[in-house]
Amino acid sequence: MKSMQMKALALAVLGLAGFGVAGSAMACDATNLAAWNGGVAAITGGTVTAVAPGLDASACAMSSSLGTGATSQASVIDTSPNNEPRYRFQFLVDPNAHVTNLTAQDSVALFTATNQTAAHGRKTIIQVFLVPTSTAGIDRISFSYSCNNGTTYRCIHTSPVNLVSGVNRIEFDVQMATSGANGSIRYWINAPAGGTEPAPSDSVTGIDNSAWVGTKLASLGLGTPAPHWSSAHHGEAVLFDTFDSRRQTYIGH
Amino acid sequence: MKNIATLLLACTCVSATGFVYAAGGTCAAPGTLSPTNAAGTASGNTCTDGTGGTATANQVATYCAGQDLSSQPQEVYKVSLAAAGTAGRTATSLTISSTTASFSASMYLFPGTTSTDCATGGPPCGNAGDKTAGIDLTTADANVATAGTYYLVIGANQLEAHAATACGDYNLAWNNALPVKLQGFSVQ
Repeated sequence: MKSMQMKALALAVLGLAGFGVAGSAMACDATNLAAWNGGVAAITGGTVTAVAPGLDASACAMSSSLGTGATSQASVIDTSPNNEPRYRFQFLVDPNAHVTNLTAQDSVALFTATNQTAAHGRKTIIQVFLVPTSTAGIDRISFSYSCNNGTTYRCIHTSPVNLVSGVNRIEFDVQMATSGANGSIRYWINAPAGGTEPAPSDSVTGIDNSAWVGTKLASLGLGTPAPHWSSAHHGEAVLFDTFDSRRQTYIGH
Repeated sequence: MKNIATLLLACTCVSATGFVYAAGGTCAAPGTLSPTNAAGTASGNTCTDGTGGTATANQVATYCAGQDLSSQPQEVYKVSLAAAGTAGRTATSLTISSTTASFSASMYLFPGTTSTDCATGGPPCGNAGDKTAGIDLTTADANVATAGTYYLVIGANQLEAHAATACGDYNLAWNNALPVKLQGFSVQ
């Protein structure tokens, strides 16, 4: 099937270098985030800025930190998805550069994709979280996703794969069900270089999520802090870079 | 939406305090905050302000594309705010409190004019607050500084979003003049 790239928004230079002034050093400022057509959501003490250097040898990365409030958010928003029944997304994240070691009480959202309208009281298709492991300084991701479980309509999966210290490349392939429970979520954590899709790091299959139609909005950056994150990690920045989203084909690198 | 009994109770409180308020409603029929030239309050209970004394329904399942507010009972106000820093808006903060210990009363203020805008929950994003941090109504917060129509959604926070029992009483307070235009209010 034809590869259909939806969005390649480097929070840094990748998508914006063409607008830079030839021969000049590129500054990292609000213009680096201007390509996000939903704007910046810096709410309740949340802070979103462009900082140097980038995470992929580019000039800039996005720095996201939260305030002390439970409703704090620090993200950029993409409104270009069009109720996508299949949505692949990839981003780089460095959770350790400025964040002290997480404890068992810590978690914070890194990315959220939502449907246009609510089904069973929910719009969120998937929300990816940063969570700790039992080893100090080693983190993982977990994600909640809409599912027709007949009660909460919200399922949770924790990755068995550790993140590495420093920059991590995270890619997801979210497929909405077309019949019954045939939706799926596959993901890759630090996949080897190359454009050929390797076996995923892990996956969840058998998801009945057709009621949520497809991705309409995407939000990259911190949100949904656990209380301990708000108290112990407010103001600590997580770095993001090189967001890419597609309808069909593996993104890779 | 509100039942008559609650509305009458609200009006009783009005005469006692000198302020006029009605508890929140829904995106389709939002509650109102009435004009006031001084500090004021509004209150309600998302556990009991629904039809027949039941919990209110969830109205905004996602706020600002990044906050999952699913399932939780909510109440909605629609307000037309003057520009921050003008004589029409001398209030500098909007706060929320609750006596329900298990309820993390939170509020979400964002621009919008239609019930669809309300149900979408942004973007455009506004600002949010909870029991520990209110909403800045000064010019410092560009998201809510301009004059215009806003929705104010009252509910629980992101972590409590997924339980229908994440509800309780709340009390809104603004610390100085926050003149707002009356909006239509329907009683179910």
